[in-house]
Amino acid sequence: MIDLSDISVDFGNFSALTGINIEVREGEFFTLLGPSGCGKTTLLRTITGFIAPTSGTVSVSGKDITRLDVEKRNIGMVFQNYALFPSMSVYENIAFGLRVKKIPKGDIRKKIEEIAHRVELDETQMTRKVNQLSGGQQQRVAIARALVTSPSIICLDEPLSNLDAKLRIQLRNELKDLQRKFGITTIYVTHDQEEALTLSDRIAVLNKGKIEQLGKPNEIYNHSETEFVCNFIGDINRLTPEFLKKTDLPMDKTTYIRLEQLYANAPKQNHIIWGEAKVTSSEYYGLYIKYTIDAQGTTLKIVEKNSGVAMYKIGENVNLSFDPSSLLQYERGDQS
Amino acid sequence: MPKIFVKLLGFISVLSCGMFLFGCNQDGSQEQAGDGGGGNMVVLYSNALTDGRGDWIAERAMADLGIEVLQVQVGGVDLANRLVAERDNPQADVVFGLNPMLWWQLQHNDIIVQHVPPWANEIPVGNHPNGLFHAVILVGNLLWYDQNQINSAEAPGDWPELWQNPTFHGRYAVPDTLEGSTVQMVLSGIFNRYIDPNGHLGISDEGWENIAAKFRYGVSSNQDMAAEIAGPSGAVMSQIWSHGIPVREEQFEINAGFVSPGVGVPFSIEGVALVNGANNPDAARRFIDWFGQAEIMHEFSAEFGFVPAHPDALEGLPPFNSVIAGLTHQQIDWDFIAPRMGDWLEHILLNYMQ
Amino acid sequence: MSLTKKNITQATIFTGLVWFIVVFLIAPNITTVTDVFWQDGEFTMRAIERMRNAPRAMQALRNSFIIAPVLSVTVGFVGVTLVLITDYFKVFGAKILRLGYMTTLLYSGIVLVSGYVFLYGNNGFVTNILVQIFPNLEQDWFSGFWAVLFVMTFAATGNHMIFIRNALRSVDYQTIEVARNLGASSFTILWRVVLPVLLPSLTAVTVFTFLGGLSAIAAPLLVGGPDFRAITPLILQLSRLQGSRDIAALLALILGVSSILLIAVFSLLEKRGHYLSVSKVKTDLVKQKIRNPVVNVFVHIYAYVLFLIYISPVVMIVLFSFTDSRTIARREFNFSALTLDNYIAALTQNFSPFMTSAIYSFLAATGVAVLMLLVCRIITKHKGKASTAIEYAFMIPWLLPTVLIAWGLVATFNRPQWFMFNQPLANTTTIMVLGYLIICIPFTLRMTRASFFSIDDTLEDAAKNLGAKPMYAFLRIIIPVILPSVLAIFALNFNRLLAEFDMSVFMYNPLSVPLGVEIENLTMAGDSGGDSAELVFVYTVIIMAISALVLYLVYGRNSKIGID
Repeated sequence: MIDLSDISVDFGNFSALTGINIEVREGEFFTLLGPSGCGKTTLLRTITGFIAPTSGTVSVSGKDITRLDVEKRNIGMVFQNYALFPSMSVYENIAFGLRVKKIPKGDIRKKIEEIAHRVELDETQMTRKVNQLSGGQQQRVAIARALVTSPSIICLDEPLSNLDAKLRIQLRNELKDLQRKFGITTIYVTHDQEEALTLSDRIAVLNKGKIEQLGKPNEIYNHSETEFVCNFIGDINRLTPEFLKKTDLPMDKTTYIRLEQLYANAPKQNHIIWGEAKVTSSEYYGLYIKYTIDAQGTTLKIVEKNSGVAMYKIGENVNLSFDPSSLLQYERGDQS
Repeated sequence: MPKIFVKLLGFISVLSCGMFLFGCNQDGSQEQAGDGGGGNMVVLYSNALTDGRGDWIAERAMADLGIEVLQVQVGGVDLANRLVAERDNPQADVVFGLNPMLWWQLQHNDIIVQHVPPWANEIPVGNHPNGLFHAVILVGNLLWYDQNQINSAEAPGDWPELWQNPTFHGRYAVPDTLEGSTVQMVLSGIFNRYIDPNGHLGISDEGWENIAAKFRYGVSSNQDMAAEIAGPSGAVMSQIWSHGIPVREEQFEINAGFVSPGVGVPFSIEGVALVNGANNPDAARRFIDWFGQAEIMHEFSAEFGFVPAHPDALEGLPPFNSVIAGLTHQQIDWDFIAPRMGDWLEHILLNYMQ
Repeated sequence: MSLTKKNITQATIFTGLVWFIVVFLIAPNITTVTDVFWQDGEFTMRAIERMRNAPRAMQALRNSFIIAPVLSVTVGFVGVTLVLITDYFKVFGAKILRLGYMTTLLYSGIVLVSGYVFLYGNNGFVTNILVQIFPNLEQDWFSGFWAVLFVMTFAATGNHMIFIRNALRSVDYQTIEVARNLGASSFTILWRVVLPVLLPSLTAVTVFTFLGGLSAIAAPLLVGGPDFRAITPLILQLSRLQGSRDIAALLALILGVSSILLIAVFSLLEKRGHYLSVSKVKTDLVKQKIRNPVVNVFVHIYAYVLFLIYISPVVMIVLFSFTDSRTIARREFNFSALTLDNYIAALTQNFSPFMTSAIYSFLAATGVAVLMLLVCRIITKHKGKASTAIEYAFMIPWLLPTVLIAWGLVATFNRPQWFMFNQPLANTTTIMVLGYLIICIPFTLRMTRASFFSIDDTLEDAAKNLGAKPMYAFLRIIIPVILPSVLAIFALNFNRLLAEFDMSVFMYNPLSVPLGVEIENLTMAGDSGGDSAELVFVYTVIIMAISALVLYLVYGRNSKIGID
């Protein structure tokens, strides 16, 4: 569907993107994830056409659109701040793209009614000025505006930032529902790994203008290919040489283990039994509880499902064990 | 809301474009008339067409000559500047009004050209020796006072007394601008007394001290001199041009007296001249020949209270006109003064104006 | 870069702008400057010497450079407080107060100052009251630096009532609520939360206050007295003397260059400190109640004293417009002297000068608005040396007084010039409109540019993304956002041009006499018709009415349209 081939973008002496190769499939929810300044927005703007790449090509369905003007690409976009036109009503905002395409008035009305229904904007909201809407309503207007012209692709640039936590989660769910309903190829930019993991079919993790890893959420999470990815995604324990000394694992590699892969008092057959460690504190999250553990000088964290009562007391000793295949090991100096 | 603006703006645009096109058409017809060279149009530049005088001239010229007069009425200094700015492509045909200094400026910039009308030799005073311009109206530039506030016995006998005699300090008004014809004529009359080719800018030190004192002890005014005299500022005397007196006496309830200095009164010559490179030279010459005749000047002066330069035109005018005409003219060395006036005015502006 | 259609369009526009700059801004002024500084075939700087030998002129120059910064502070303070009174705090009668404060948008110059002189000058109303209380007070107490400062402070707040009010509407009310929630006092909120948002507009407006101070004419002339002469009246007079135009140009260049330096400094400040609202869900400002009762009383007193100061000169002018010149001269007002004769005289005059000026002003104000929108668009879109050069080139009209610009235009265009396609422009409608347009450029450019800062770039991206061509996106999205400001600027330009004199007198066509020239001719002191000061007032009142109407039409009704 979208084929990014060897994309590089330079701003003067600064390389914002180097050698990006991505193929996004039809109907896929694809996320560009990375810390701020990693180049993810630049890549999105290259796809939508606001930025021309220094080298490489952007193709959609086999057609090279690298040099095509923004307005001719038919790629929808939802901006970080929604960029709703303040001088227009909700209806006019959504109608804008259709009017530009010189679609007959009657058809415009029909299409807008349809999309408004699907994003759940009611009749009275349609006549309002955009600054009279709540954040959630604004997001739906922005999405409706982007979708009403039936673009082949929709790009979303951190549409959930600057919103409070609850609204964020609510909108995240709405977003996913909408994407399913419309079945449209979606490219989503975020720095929030949780958002990326929950929403995406596939994720590309970017760092310093390069792709660190491209894969499905579980691949990214469980099989982080680089030290950067494993640190950026989710909580992780770094196993110190002192900790590893007690095992016969190789010491020349940097070794990590996910919190949930470290077991307390629950050894399994294929586990390496590490031994006693002391619980030093706990954090209550509702769904689960996070414990901090002192393993003879190495501070580690583990999670346990919340079963209603505290499992471990502070100061209590637990028996640590883990599956060696769940370890993430990297050559030293890998972390760029 | 913006829609209303858009509609409104649209409406105004259409309206004004219409008006604009209409205006262009008018311009076009004027040019056609000019290009046609039928000699039926004259563009008259003047500083003396206010109070209906321009319309009077236009009506009479149309009736007597069949010439259409287009008037450009602008203050004297601006008029001269505009004529100079347009020198490469003159828009004017005839200039009327001004004063000796401005005439000199036009002459110096080759703006006007010789044309000697038939009535020229009947004018005793004010014609240009080479026939570049000819006098039509005489204006006396007087020191006047309100006899209700200062009686004739107390009044000064000549200009310098105003600043040399402390009793008059703060009792005379001085305009806060030097642009007017009257103010420059009055200054000429004073400068003329202190000519010294070795002095600063051709004026003796004593002369500059007098000029400085004139401004130092006068009441600076931005309004009509009569209004200033009638107003609360304490000024009871000022300069005035002769034909401005009668109407102001009535308007401000002033009982006018004026001074007739021994050296005479500085008189301005309002003249008429043909513009160098005029678009309608033939009509312009006909207009000038007609305008300065005794009959026309008589009617014009009678209508607007002027003192005509043509002696035959004076007959039958109110006595005030004869009194003014009978005043002694101060002999002013215009060849020395006119070229230097600009520098002097600058010197005053930079150093003495309050 | 290949020769795409887009590139060709851009190149055409760029060439067009450069052509405009060279032909209408640079060429005529070069004509003027060479004519002025080249005498007898050689370049002369005699003007510098003459100026330095004139202590009074130097003093006047110093005075102007004193009043300008002081004025920037006083006007800034009064202007901001006016806006806070009408739109930020809950003040009783705010709507009426606002009308009073906005009166300075309707009149200016000599007439405005005359209004103050009727009150505070010799035999003025206030003076007479004061003399009864303080018998030792001189009748002409209202004179000198303080009088000029007083008059000009209240005369120059008009721009604040438009542009600072616009800016105040873009304050996100949530930020105020948050600040209060964090325990900030009303003063802290005002100082740290509200004022920073007003800052870009305040900066832009302050530039004009400063320039207004530098180029003050009427106030120093009428109430400056011998102790406080300013430089601009001097420049004006010198610029009309053929032999002194060099010194006039030199003085004007000093003012012009300092203005542009000031602009450069302020542009830097503007870049550093402009705060856009970042919130996604902005809420409208709610008027703040002043909780401290003492402060509340004080603010109300302040508000109404200012109201009186603003409204009374207008009342004076309207009243005196119904009297005769003797009453005006003596400043002895009585109701029995009132008459309608002046208005009958004025309104039975030929009405075409009103139409002529309205059309010229409309065309010029529209033209300059469109041109400056284009320029601002270019200089905000393509940052670089070329666009900076263009921006500064459009400030050239600040370098010379209007009279000299007019002189340059006439002298340059009254003969065919190849760069003007061999079309002489003398006495055409075109040159009048051009002249009017040129003198409006700097103000329009500055204020339009300031409003461009308030635009969110992503709006245009969004429009393009939806398939709009850049031009369409600009017209449909950007223009509506800045329309209130553009219209306000249009109205101010229109009103300013309506009675324009300095430019008109040089180039008007005898078939279409503009209003400024007509009024000057009707009221010119110097002829047998007598003094007609009352007609000046009558025309002022009529023009005030027209200006008020224009402001109302394009600006007054949109109390809800703010800049987001």
